[in-house]
Amino acid sequence: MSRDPIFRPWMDQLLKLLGAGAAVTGLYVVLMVYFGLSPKTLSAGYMPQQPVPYSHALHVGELGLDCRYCHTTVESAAFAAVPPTQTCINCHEKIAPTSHKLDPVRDSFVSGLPVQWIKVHDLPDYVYFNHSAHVTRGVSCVECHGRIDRMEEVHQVKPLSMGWCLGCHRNPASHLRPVDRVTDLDWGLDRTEEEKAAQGNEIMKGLGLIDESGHPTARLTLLTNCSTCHR
Amino acid sequence: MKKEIGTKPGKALWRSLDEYADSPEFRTLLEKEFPNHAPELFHSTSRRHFLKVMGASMALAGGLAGCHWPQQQILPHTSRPQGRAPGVPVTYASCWEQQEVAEGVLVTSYDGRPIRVDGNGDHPFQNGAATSQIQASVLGLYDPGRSSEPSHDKAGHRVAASWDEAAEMLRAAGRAGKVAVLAAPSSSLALAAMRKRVLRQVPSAQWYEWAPIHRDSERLGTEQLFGRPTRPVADLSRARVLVCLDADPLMNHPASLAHSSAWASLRTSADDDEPLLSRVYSVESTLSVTGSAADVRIPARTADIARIAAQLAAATGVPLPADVASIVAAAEPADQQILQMAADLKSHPGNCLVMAGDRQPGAVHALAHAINIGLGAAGKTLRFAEVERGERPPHIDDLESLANRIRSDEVETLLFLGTNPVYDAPAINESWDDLIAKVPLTIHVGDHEDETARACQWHLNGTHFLEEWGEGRSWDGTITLRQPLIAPLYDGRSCIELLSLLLDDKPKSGHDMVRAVLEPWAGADVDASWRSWLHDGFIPGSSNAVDSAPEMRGGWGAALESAMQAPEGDEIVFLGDHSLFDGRYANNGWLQELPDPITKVTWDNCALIAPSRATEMGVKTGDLIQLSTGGRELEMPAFVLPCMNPRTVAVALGYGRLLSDRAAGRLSRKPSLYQIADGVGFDTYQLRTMEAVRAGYAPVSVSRASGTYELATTQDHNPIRPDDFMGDLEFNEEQRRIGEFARVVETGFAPDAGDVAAQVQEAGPHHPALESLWTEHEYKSHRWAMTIDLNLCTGCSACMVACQSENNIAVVGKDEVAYGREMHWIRVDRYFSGDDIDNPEVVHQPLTCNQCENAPCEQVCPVAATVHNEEGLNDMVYNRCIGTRYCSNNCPYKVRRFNYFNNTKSPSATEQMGYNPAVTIRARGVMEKCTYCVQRINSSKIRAHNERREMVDGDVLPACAQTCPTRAITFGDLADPQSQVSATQKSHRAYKMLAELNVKPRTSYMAKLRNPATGEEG
Repeated sequence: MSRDPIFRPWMDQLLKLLGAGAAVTGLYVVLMVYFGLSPKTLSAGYMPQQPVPYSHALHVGELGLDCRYCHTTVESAAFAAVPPTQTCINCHEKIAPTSHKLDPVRDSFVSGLPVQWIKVHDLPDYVYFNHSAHVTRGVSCVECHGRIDRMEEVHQVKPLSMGWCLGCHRNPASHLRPVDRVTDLDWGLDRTEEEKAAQGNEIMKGLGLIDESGHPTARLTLLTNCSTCHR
Repeated sequence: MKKEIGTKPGKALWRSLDEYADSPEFRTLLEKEFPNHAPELFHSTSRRHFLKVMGASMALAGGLAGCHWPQQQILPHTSRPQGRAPGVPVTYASCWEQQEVAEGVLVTSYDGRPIRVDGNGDHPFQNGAATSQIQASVLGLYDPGRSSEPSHDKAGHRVAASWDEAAEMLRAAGRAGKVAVLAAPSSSLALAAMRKRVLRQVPSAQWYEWAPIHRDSERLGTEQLFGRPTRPVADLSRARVLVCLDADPLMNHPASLAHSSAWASLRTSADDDEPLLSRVYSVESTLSVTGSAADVRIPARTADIARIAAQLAAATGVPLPADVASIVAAAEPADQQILQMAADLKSHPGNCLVMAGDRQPGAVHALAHAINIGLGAAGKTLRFAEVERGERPPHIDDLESLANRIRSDEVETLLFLGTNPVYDAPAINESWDDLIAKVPLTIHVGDHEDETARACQWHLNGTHFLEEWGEGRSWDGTITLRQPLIAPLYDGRSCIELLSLLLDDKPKSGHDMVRAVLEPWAGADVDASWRSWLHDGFIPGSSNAVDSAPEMRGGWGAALESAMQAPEGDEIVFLGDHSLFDGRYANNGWLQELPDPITKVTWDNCALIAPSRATEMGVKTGDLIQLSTGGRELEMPAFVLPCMNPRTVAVALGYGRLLSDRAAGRLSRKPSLYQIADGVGFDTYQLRTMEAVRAGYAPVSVSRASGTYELATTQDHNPIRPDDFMGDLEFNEEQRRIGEFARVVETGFAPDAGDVAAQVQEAGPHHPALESLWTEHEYKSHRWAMTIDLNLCTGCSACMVACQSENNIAVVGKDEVAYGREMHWIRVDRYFSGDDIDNPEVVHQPLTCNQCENAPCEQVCPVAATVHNEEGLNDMVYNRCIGTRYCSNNCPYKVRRFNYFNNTKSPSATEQMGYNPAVTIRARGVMEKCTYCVQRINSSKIRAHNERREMVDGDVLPACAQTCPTRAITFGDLADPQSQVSATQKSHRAYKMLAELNVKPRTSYMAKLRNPATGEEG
């Protein structure tokens, strides 16, 4: 060479390094987005602050209130309605009448304005979830909401992503229980996998989801059809 | 009459004259689905505009901050009403009123917001159907352009007022006296009671009534014939021969719902030996909906109908009063068509009916009823019911009396209760603006600050029918109750509450007044009666007394003679618009965008002229023509409509409204952005003189003007021309496709099932046996399917509005409709057939997604956003769709609609209340289509499975099927052999549209039967 080269030799190395760096960065970004923005990361564990520090652990776990005492419409409607202020006042007119934790409840009852609860299990608007369709078929509250009866503050335990829902919709057997045990959150914990599957299959036969020989019916396939949840 | 099969190619179908002529304009529509599509999103190419748009996208992208989506609150009741579950819709009965006649409706309320209005199936005079206007009425409640507070003039400005000030003003006016009220006519008993109180309590009070479209001539006719006004109640289910003289009983009649369902019962074909088909003659000047469904149509001027009625009376030889008989005898001899009509009527005594339209003068109605009585229809197809307030004068006379009183300074206070004479009343020597200016105190009550409100000193905001207590009487007199579904959104007052403010120191509530006026009807337990009436929506057994055989008398011969002396030349007729009626719905987006059943024009009105007239004048659709009548002139775009009488120009009323008017100095207080009625169409009330109102028509001179006007019509959108994609198969002339989409078979009164079946199959294309490339799916559970009976469809388009209401379908506006981007999931294609351009036959075909089992759309979606479900529905998953539009490209029926813009980006707060929460609201870039109302299917199924029972036929009705007045649409489960849809799909008239493509549609059509006159009657 009579003159200095335009690209010095060390630039070859640099180029290889940059290429490797770009590949690693790319992979890193993809993995960050995939894991970081997945519902398991974003949604599971979501625990917003509520206006009233209502403790399910106390009311349901210790005092033994059934879920349906407050969430009255869960067996007949799509929404398991958060109870009206009247339901709280039924007891709290006389119980803990001066506790400051209940100030928003008393204010609501007197003014007629609602208590502004924050939705914890918030599905996108294009998902039409129907509680009654699940609760009346033997899907317990605990399957999706976890051990609410042990939560001081309600938080979301399951990711509630479409993939997670499909896991059950494709194979509901191990998530089903007799309908009268649906609000028993600690029922059947000590069953083995075989027991769960056997019980689940029986229930599925009763619901028409599998036929006598255990083959899936059209009703089971319907559970994974798009319009069942998206309309 | 048997049609020879296979020798003639038959009649091709065409939707417009462009299609018939195969003009180059039509060819472009055929080749490109969106021919006027402007490829650039940015109409301005300035750099600034481009950066603005790009900047907006950047800002949106920045919204990634905060990884969880925005928090949503749950706001429960403080005390939940009994039996109410949040998110579960509740239905209440109410009453909707138009043209002084109430219809029972069922209103669905979702969490306290009414979102749908349907017909009340329990009502004795209705079958649960609803018209397009009833379906769209819910949007009027949420209209952001509604006035939201009282306002009045103060020091030259329009300022808001409180209801206390308004009440004070009203009470003072009531005490001062010389009050004239111009009210909208209503059958409400409570309003009638208030009227009596006003006349009694307020010194020198007068009560007038005005409606631009009314049935006064019908009342007058019966008064002339029987000596007292009565109401003809027709029973079309027994009318084997029906003659409509400029009448439109199936669409433009207060009892159209009852008429449609009764007419439909005589259009089913014989499955047994019992002959069932009726024959409908329509003698009219313009193509009406009844005319489009008629078997025989005779175009004639509105002015000549009187003569034709006389000829009909002479030909049928019915007994007439002496003075009338001599006039009838002196009429010119009838031509062959009239004689045929008369022969048909005579051969069906007691099972025939002649109906005259509301534009015809009283004498024609009288003559029509004389013919009916003479042919034995009284008591069978026709009954005469008592009417309330029979002594009231015709509206046009009331208007004249009021004008005279104003001119002679006898009116101190003028109160408009829901009337709008500045817009819709003919000038009486001076304009209504000037007349109103003469009165010291003028008050307008209504739901918009309309043309009259701006001329008055006070405007008081009224209530929508969904916000008020009230009642009305249906066509047969059944008292129908109205209860509020929601507290008045803007603290408005209903008419009776306003009058109570005028009369009473302690104003009464609407609820108390209605209850008080209905108490005489109650049983021993008034509370129980009241509750049961509110539940049902009507008072059982409250229909008016009926006279089956009233005595005829004469004295109207002179009136008939003068009606028959019509001048020669062109005439103009004024039609109530099929969507906007008299203009009251002008601010309703659904009704503005609803294609007119006959012209398929959206967002405008036009002057309808016949093809031969258009050729004479050298005019085509869109060219401006000038109409001059009675000293007034107006330029309007022409619309060339086959079937029109050549000497008639027809214009629709209700357009050219001005709800926000800056020039007048009295600003409407709502932003003009919300007044979508402004600038739409042409104000044809300007042409409508007193003479035109009285006579039903007026002489007009028509001339070509310069310029054109773009009309957004959907009639040529989505054309399907099979020869283009079936070009490879060989068809010779005889085997060419003949009327295959909408198949029509000509038959007689007694159609033979086998003959009809053969003709229906023959009308379809000849193709080899259908084979699939792959193994077809076996459906083991429900198999949802639909049958549409073309024999019953009148083209009324109520299904289109019902679908729009149920599925949150967006309104796109005139420009986008012109591009072919209207969003209706169900459309009604109107075909003309035959080679006679001036008087072809018409057939309507509603078309939705056919939910094809071998759907071409499903096969090409790159992201599986449209897939097939286990019950045969073609699912559309909005959240997956990325907007390639390949599915729409593949759809042979072109029933998929694409959201080119974010039509629901920023709805006003009240519009948001009106959406149906059960259906996703689609954003930009997403394809949508009919889903057979999958939300209704799912909710019925969930309810059935919750209760561990099976669904039964009739559990699920899509919105279109529910509202169809003739029950043309049947829906159900093919897996249930007993279901109605199984039976109809096996009918000998059933066929599938484009079945030869092997897409296996789930929707079947049933061929239309036409019963033309053969000349063999009598």
